[in-house]
Amino acid sequence: MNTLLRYSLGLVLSLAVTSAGANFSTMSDEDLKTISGQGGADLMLDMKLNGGSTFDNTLCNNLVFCRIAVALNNRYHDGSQDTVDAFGVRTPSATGKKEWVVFKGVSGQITIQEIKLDGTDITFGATTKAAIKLSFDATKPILIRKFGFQSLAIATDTVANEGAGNLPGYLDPTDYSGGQAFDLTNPVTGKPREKGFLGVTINGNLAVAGTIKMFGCDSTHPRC
Amino acid sequence: MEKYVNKNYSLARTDRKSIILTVLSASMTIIMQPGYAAMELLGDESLSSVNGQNGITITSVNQGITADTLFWEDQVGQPTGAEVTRRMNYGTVSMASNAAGISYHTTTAKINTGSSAGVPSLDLQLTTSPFTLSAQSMKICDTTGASCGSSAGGFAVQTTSDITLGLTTTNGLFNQNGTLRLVAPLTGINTYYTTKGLSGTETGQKNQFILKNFRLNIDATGKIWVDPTEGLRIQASIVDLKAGTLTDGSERETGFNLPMMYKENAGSGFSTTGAKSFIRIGASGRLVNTDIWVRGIDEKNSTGVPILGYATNAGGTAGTGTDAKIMGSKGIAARLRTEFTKSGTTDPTKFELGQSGDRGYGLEFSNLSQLNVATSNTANPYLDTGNVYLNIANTRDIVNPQNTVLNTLKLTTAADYTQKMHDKAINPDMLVVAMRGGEFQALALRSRFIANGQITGTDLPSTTTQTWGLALPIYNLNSNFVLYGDQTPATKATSGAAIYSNGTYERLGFGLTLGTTGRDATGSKTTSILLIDSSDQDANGIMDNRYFGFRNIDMLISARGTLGLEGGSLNLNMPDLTIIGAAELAVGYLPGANAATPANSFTLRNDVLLGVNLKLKGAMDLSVIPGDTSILGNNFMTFAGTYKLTDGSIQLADSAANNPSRIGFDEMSGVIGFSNNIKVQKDNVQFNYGLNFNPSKTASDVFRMKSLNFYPLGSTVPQRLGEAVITGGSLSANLMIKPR
Repeated sequence: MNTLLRYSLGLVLSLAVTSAGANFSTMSDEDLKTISGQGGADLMLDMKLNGGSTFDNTLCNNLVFCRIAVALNNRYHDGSQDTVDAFGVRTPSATGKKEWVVFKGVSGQITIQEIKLDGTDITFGATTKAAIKLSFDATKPILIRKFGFQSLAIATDTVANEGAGNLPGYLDPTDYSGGQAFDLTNPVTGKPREKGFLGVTINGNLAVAGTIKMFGCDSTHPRC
Repeated sequence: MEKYVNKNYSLARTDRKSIILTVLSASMTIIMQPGYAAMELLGDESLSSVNGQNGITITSVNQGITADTLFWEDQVGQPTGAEVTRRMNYGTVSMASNAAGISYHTTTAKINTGSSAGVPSLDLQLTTSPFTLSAQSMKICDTTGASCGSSAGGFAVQTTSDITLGLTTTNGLFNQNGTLRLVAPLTGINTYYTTKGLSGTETGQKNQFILKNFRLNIDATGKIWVDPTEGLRIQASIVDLKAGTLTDGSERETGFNLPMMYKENAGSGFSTTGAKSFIRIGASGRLVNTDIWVRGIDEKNSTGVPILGYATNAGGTAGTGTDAKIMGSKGIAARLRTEFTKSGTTDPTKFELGQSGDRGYGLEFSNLSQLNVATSNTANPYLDTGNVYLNIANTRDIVNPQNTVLNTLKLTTAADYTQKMHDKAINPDMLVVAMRGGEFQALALRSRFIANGQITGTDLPSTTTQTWGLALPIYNLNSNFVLYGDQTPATKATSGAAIYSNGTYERLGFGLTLGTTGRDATGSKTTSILLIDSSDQDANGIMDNRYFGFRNIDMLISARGTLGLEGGSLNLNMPDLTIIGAAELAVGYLPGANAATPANSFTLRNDVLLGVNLKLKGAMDLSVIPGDTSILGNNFMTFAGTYKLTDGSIQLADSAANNPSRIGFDEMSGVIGFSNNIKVQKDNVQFNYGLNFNPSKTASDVFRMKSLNFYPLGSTVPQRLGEAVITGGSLSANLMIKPR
């Protein structure tokens, strides 16, 4: 993991909020000369997953095709393991059925109203490096709307090593239709709830103030 | 005899009121001026009024010209080991007047001879009235014309006003010791590439790819000669690309202007009315030290490894012997090198990239510089096409030069540089355009938003000086591009819903290999995509140029398929599309920007945030939908289609030079539908992405990343973390970038 920590992203996080509105005084030529980083750009990003704040029931009319799933390495139903040769070539377990963590009915919207992108200098001791400065404005929070998933389940493949006739865990169609629960039908999808044990929806505004500066962290820099 | 020497003669072009001949219906009339009628002394006053009374005026008038076939002939090396002759045939060629109410076309040549300081001089003015020159078919045939490939469609050139070419030389026409001035206001030229529907209800329907109002408005000074080994040579110390005035309802009129447009169901005839917008590339300003080489090439009798390789048959077996060299014993080789002028000089060069047609926005790129921005580097930024080869070929595979960086990174192997150009059972005869060593080393340190005609008032972009730039330098571009006529209905390359028709159309079969090299050994040339911040200045007022972006991009893109113009869009059907690349995401100062930044800083890794290695193999159906120029805000291009990824990998690496630690998103596969567009607006650029994972909702098309790998430093053996899938759904993103 040390290599990871030495990963070449140098991050300097300064969460200083300046008191901008103090006094209006005339700026001298000298002051004006010190103004830098007026170039830059404002970035706005709006992302919608499966319809965003309104779940797209037309697109997701077949709920198994609106999922995200993850299977960890060597996580098989029978505890078997892959074999890896000296060249890194992996031979999957011949007997293992993959176990998947399946996020069902994923959707949501994230709106980043403004990130200011500027070029700047970072001075550390005698070393000055050019850096990217990303600035966030707390009055323009990141909007998170109905971001999450309807249910979370663990599902297992039906055939070892994804062999012929396998129904992958991530396409497991099991739901609670025919059951007795009082909220059997999911109001979001209008269909019986998919099998699972947890649902998450995040609504909120994430106000971030401050700046992130990024620079290439090379061996000549005292911080790296 | 003094009277008979044209004293007004000089190398500068002056408007001469030449004798206007009565238009004769005869095809040609030559009149020598009887200048010796009265031998009386002329006063100074009279002399000053002498104005091109000498010389020859030739006027040609025609009621239209037709020809069955015009052709260009080339020798073709074949996989069978026998060279044959093939012709690029333009069928049913006609030329007619394009002047309203005038049925005849006029060409007038005025030739004046004289002397300038004792040196014989020639002045040639060639004027042509508006015309339309069209060919109804383009195909490659044998010498008898009996055996031909499919027609790729029709082609037409149209001028919309009188065009006068002015050529002034000393010491004859092709003399290395002479001088030449060429004034060529080639403006208002439209070209049409037309394809026809051949089946069903679309039979006869014509769709067009149009270059509307193409301009090459040049005023060049230099010399032209023929060299026994270098071929036709042109050297111009100055070439001015003269911009026109922006008028209402027109595109911007840059000195060089290449506006690409599209017209669906064009009907008969040739008109740009109603054409929709793809993109426009423009350039204005002064170019210096321009060199042009054009020569014939005989590869059959040349030694060394053939540039395009040996021809292979449809099964991939290469022919042997000199008669199997792809280029054959005939071909055309050309090269253009020109330098762009920097800011602070007379009429510095500027580029434009934007939407074509009315009501479109774009970007202007100025303050051009080489990568080394130090003020001590006085060398001009430049374009060098490298060697460009034009040939007819008969082969399945064509080789491209190896990229050692990609080979070392194991992103490619030597075999990846031999590209299969078609999937046909028999090799079609094809046109090959190959480039070796193309360079575009010009970084725009300043950019700004610009508007086309019919945008007024508050819709106009700000004219405030901007302090950002966008740079797209290219180093060592090697490419092979083949084209052939193909009328086989396009089978969808992916399982997605393609926009285009599956009917039979004239289509263009194509194959493409395109490679770039990241940088040269000293770091003075690069292939990069950089955003430049030139807002700060040092104590001497010199711009302190920071950059951020992907630098040193080694890349290999290869594709094959067909291209058509059906259904309101430009459609690419690509059963094979491979994109391989390695680049560095970096932030820092441009080389030479200040004392602390050396000229070779692009060879150092100090600025690198992370390395990105990319390998995407798959197939794609892509429709490029043109923008509507009639409504403000609707003029943008949309890229819609389906991408079938069969083997994909994206790896992020740290900045170590050899086998750095990496995160690998490996073994990616799946089908993704997309509809993306790029909108350039008056003060911002919007990227709108719409991705639809697994559009056909089938288990086999699920998007998978079968290995998330960590590669430890110094090792190529991955440590696998697991895998992930996206079974389907949509992801849309709108990104707006608004420079300040």
